[in-house]
Amino acid sequence: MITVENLTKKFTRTVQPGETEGVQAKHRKKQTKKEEFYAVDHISFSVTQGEIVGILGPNGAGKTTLLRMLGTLMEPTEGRVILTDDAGNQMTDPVQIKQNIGYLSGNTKLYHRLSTREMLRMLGEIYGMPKEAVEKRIEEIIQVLDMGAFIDNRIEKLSTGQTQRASIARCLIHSPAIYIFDEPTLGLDILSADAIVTFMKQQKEAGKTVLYSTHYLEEAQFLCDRIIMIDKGKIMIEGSPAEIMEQTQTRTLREAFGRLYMGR
Amino acid sequence: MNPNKIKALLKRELTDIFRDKKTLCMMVLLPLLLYPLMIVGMTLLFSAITQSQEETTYQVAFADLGQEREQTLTDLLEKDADTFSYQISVEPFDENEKTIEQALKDGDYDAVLSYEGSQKDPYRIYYLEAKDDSGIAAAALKELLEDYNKQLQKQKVQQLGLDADEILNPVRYEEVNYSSTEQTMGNMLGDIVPMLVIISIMMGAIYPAIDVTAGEKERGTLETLLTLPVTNFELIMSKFLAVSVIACVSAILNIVSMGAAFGFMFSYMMEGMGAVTINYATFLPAILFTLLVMVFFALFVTAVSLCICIFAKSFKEANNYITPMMLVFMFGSMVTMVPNIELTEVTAAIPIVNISLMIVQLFSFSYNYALFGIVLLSNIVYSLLAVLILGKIYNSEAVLFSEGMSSLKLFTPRSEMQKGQIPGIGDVVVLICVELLLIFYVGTAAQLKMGFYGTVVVQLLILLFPLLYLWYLKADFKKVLSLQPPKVLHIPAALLVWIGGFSLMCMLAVLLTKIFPESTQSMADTMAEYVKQPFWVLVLVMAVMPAVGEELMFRGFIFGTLKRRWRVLPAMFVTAAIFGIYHMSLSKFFTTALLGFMLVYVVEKTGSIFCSMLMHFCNNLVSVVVMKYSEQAGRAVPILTKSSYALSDYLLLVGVACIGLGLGGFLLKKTGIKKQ
Repeated sequence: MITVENLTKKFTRTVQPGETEGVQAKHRKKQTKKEEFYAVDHISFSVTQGEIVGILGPNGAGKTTLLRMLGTLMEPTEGRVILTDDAGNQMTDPVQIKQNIGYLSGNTKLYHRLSTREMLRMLGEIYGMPKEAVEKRIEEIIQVLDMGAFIDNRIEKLSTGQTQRASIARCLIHSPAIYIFDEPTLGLDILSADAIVTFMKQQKEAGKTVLYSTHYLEEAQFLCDRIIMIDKGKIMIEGSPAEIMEQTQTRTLREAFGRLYMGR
Repeated sequence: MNPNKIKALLKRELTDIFRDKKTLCMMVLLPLLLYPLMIVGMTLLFSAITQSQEETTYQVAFADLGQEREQTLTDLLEKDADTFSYQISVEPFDENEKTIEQALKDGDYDAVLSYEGSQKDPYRIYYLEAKDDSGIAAAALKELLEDYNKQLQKQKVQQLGLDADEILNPVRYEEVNYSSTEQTMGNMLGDIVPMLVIISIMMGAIYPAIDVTAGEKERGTLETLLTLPVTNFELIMSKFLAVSVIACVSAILNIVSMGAAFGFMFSYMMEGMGAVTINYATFLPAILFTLLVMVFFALFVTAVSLCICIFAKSFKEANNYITPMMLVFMFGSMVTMVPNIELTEVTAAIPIVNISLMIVQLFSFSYNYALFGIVLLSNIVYSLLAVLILGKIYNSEAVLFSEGMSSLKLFTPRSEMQKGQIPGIGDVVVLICVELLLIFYVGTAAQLKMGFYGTVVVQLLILLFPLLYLWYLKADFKKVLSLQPPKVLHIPAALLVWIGGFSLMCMLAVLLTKIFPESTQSMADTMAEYVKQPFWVLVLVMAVMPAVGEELMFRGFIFGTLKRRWRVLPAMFVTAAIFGIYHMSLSKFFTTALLGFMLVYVVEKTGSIFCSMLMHFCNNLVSVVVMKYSEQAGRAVPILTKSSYALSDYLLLVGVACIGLGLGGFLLKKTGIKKQ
C-alpha cells in the first residue's frame, strides 16, 4: 500500500516581469525575478494493494512531478511517501522504496548499446538478486512478453513496440509490488498500447498495485478502479469512474473531465 | 554504500562506453595512429628538406672584385666547399645588361659580392632577405669573407714575424660536458612530456565524461538510472570510476604510442650522429613515477570534467562548457616552458602545474620524495573535493531535470535570441578572454608595427568588441551599459569622488613603488616615445579613448551583466578586480582596482556611465599632463611628481581624500537613484 501524506513540491522559476499571471505566485522576492510555485500542492491519498489508480489532468497539472515523487526520483518539499509491505512494515527510505517499485515513463529510455538480456542481468545485480534467480526471471519475462526473438539484440536495433516491451521488462525484473507508469501508452500504436493495457490488467489480477497517468480518458474509464483528477497541483476529484460520473452528472469520463476543467 | 551495486553500475558504464565506436576511435585508434604518423611524417619531411637543400646549387656573382681578389676568394670558396651542406657556383657579374638589384630580383643570382675601393667598408653583399635561397647564399658569402679576413690577418701577423695563433687566438678553450646523454635527453623530454601527458589524459577523460553525464541526459537514460535502488553516491562513484579507468587506459595508450614514436625518432637521429648509445633503463623510475602520477591526475581531470559536463543538457553544450577547462589545463601544462619555475612547497600544491613540474623533475633524475608526496596528496585532495562537489550537484534536481544552463547566451542561434536580453556570466568570461587575447596578439603586433598609433588600435578594439557582442546578442544597450544622462549634481559629485580617490591612489602608488621598485623604471622607457607626440593626440588616445572604451566594457558590459546576475556588492568588487587584473601588472593592480571600484560605485549610484567616463578621463588626463609636461606639473602641483612623500604630503592627501570622498559620497547619496 502506498500512503501519500501532504505531498508538496515547490519549484523556483525565473520569470520576466509581467509574466506572473496565471501562475500561483505565493512568494516573490524583490531583487531576483524568481518566483516559487507549487507543482504539487499538499496532496494526500492512499492506494491499496491490487488497485489500478489513474492520475488524470491537463498538461502542467503536476502529474509527472507527483509520480516522480512517488517513485522517489524527486524529493518532496513537504510531506512524505510511505510504502507498507504485506507484513505491515513501513518504508520511507528512497532506496528501499525503489526496490519495491517498477517505474516507467516516457523519459526512462534504455541503454542503446546493451542487449535486453544484458540490461536485465545488470538490473538483477543492482536489485541484489542471486544470479540463478535472475536467469530464471529473464526466461519468465521472455515468455510473458514474447521477447525471444530479440532478447539478445542491441536495444538500438529494436522497433518502437519491441523497445516498449524491453522497457516493461526492465520494470518487471525484480517483481515489484507496485508499478508506477507515467503516460505509458503515449505515442504508441494501437497494438503496442493494447499490450500495455493488457499487461496492467494482468498485474492487477496478480495482486499488484498500479498507479499510472494518462491522457486517454476512455482507457482510464475502462481500466481504473479509482481515478484522481488533479489540476495546478491539487486534487479536484477522486473516486471510481462511476462515482466521478455521478458526482459530475455526466455519462462518460470524458464529459466529466470537460465539465471539471473547461466548464469552470 | 554497496560495492556490488557500484560494480554492476561500473560494468554497465564501461560496456556502454567501449561499445561506442566514437569513443574507441578517440581513445585507441587516434593515439595509436597519430603519434607514429606525426613523427614519421616529421622525420620524412625533415630529411626531404635537407636533401633538397643539399641538391640545390646557389648562384653567386662577383662584381668588380678585381682579378686577384676574385681568384683568392674563388680558391677559398673551393676549399670551404666541404663545410657547406650545399653547392655554390660562382660567376662574374655581367654588368652590361642589368643592375645588381634587377638581376637579384629576376633571380639571375642568389647573392652578389662586390668591391668598391673608395668606400670605408669596401665589400658589399647584395641579397634579398625575403627570399630563403638568397639569404642562404648571402650567409655563405659572409662566411667566406670571414675566412678571408682571418687568412689576411694571419698573413699580416706572420709577416711581422709573430706567432699568429698566439696573437689572433689568445683565448683557446675546450668544452667538457659532464651530462650523460641520458640526462640531456631527460632534459628534452621534461620539456614535452608533461604537456603530452596532460593533454592525452584530458582527451581520454573528456569524451567519456560528456558521455556519462550530458550524453545520458541527451539519450534520456538518466531518469532510468534514477529509478534504480542505488544512492547518489553509488551512481557518482560508478561514473567517476568508469571515466577514470578510461582516462587512464587512454593515457597509457597515448604514452606507449608516443614513446614508441619518439624512440623511433631518437634512434633515427642517433644513427646520424654516430655511435651514441642510450641506456633506456635509466628512465625506468621516471616512467614508473609518471605513470603513478598520471593515475592520480586522471582522477582529478575526471572529477573536474564531470562537474562541468553535468550542467550541460547535450553533447554540444557540454563541449562548449569544457573548452575553457581545456584551455586552462593546457596553459597549466605549458608552465614547464617558463624558466625559473620549480617544484617547491607552493607549486607542489597548485593543480596541473604541480604535475607538470613533477614530471620535469623526474626526467632530470632529481627525486624529492617529500615534494612528490605533496603533489600526489594535493591531487587526491582536489579530486575528493571535486567528487564532493559532484555529489552535491548530482543531488540537485534543478541540475538533473533542468534544461541546462543559460549563462552563455552566445551559443543560442541568433534568430532565437530575445530582444533586449541581458548577457550571461559566461558571456562576461568570453568577453574578457577574447579582449585579452585581442590585446595580447593584435595589440602587441599593432604596437610593434605602428608604435604609438598601435595604442589607438588597442583602444578601438576595446571599444568595438563589447558593442559588437551586445549587438549580436540583441541585448538592451541602454540597460546593460547604463547609458543614462547624468543629473546636473551627479557631475560635481563624480568629480569630488574622483579627487578623493585620486589622492588615495597617489599614496598607494608611492607606497607600492617601495615594494615593486623596478616597475617604474621600465615604464619610463616606453613613455619616451609617447612624450614626442603632440599634446592633443596624447589626450585623445590616452584619455578620451580609454575613458569611453574601458568604461563601456568594464562599467558597462561587465558590471551591467554581473549586477543583474549576482548581488550588487560582489558584482562591484569583481568588476574592480577584473579592471585591476586587466592592466596586467602586479604593481598597478591595487591602484587600478581602487580606481575601478570608485568608478563602478559612481555608476551604481548615478545609474549613468557618463559620470564614470568623466572621472576616467580626468584621471588619465592628469597622467598625460604629468608625462608630457612633468616639469611644469611638478612645479604647479609638486605632489604629482614626487616619488616619495613626507609626512605633510600624506596628511594633505588624506585630508583631500576625506573631503573628496565625503562630499562626493554625500552628494551621491542625496542625488543618487532610489532603489526600487
